[in-house]
Amino acid sequence: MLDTLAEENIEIFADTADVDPAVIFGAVYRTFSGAVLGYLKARGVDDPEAVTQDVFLAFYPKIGELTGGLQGAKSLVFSIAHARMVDYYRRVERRPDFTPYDPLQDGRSTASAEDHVLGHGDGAAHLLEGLAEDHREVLALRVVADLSIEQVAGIMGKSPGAIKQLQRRALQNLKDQTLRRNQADHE
Amino acid sequence: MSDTAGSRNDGTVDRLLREAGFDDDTDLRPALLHLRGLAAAQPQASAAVAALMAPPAEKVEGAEQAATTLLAAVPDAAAGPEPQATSPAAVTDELAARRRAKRRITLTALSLAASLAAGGAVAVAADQGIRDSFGQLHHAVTSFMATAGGGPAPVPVGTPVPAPAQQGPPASAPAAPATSAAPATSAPESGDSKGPKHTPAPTNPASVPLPNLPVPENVTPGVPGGPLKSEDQPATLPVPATPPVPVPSVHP
Repeated sequence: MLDTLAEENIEIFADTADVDPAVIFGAVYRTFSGAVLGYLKARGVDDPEAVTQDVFLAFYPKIGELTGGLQGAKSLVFSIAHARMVDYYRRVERRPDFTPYDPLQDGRSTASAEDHVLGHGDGAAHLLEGLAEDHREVLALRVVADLSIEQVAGIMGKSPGAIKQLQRRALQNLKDQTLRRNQADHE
Repeated sequence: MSDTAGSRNDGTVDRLLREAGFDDDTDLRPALLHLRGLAAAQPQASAAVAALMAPPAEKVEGAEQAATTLLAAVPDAAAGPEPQATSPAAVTDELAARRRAKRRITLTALSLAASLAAGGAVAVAADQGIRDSFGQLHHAVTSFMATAGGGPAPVPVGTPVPAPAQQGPPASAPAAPATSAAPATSAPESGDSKGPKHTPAPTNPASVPLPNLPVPENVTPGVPGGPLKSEDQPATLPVPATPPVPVPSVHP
């Protein structure tokens, strides 16, 4: 489905000058909204659906300045999503945590057996927990958002070589963490 | 998620693993595929986003509905701009008033300092002691310049006095410089510094009784090279006048 959408949208982005902004906006939303939502989930943002809508609402006024076709739109959308995620964590750092105890929100509780079997739930979102901040970010942008090394470097403000090094270390740490979890599950 | 999407996810994960050097890693690949599954869900567009995605014909109606919904959520939005429009002017006036107050304080301080300086200068100029000190300073400078310039200048100061000093016995010889130096040193202490160097001579009438001296008529007291030298009239000077002179120098 995604590939079919991508082929249609590539035709739309072939000549953006004569295309209505609403059409471009719809194509971008249909193509990248799932990846944006997954990226925000992987980064642990509260209410990722609402933040996803905010990201695309912020993207709409910039359609006129859009260059680079579909890949340019992708970079721009995830740049906005990255900025929203950074804003979220800054807001969380400033805000004291006065949340009362809720057993349903207790992270120490056991996950649903059905979700575990079907592979849904928060298991995938918690995969990156325990990694360093940069490692989480580079894996979320590379795997979930499916961005290239150059695009990730542009969003994170680092060089492509630094992103390669960061990605390698992140994968190594993720592997170690996965092995530890598998070993703990078997025990 | 179709097979095409699944193969696309596999391609993304495989490419990443190949770039990082984890080609055949059997632990990382399932974890990354699991993570990649987060991007599969398609969120439902909100009303505002759906209005922006609508075709142009439907866009007007959708935008109106979205705007109505948004405005309904903010009923007091129209009442807001009025106080905001007036507040910048009030802020500007307040800032201007502060600037004016600062300028006024600066001008007041400057005028007060200038008037105080002028008053102080007048008071200093009116003080007699200050003027005397200026006169003394002028006198000291003049005497110093005269002393440094040559010997003939101080001679008229002690002209009436050295005549009896050189007439006395050898024991009274040191007294002559003392008496001749006395007017020079006593001049600054007398307080009457308005006059020139010749005025201190009458201030010591006890040592030299000038009215009793038989001064010749052709002698001019102020002329250094006149006939009143000690070589010309040694006998006319009174002898008793010399004893009182060495007394202050002998008995300290």
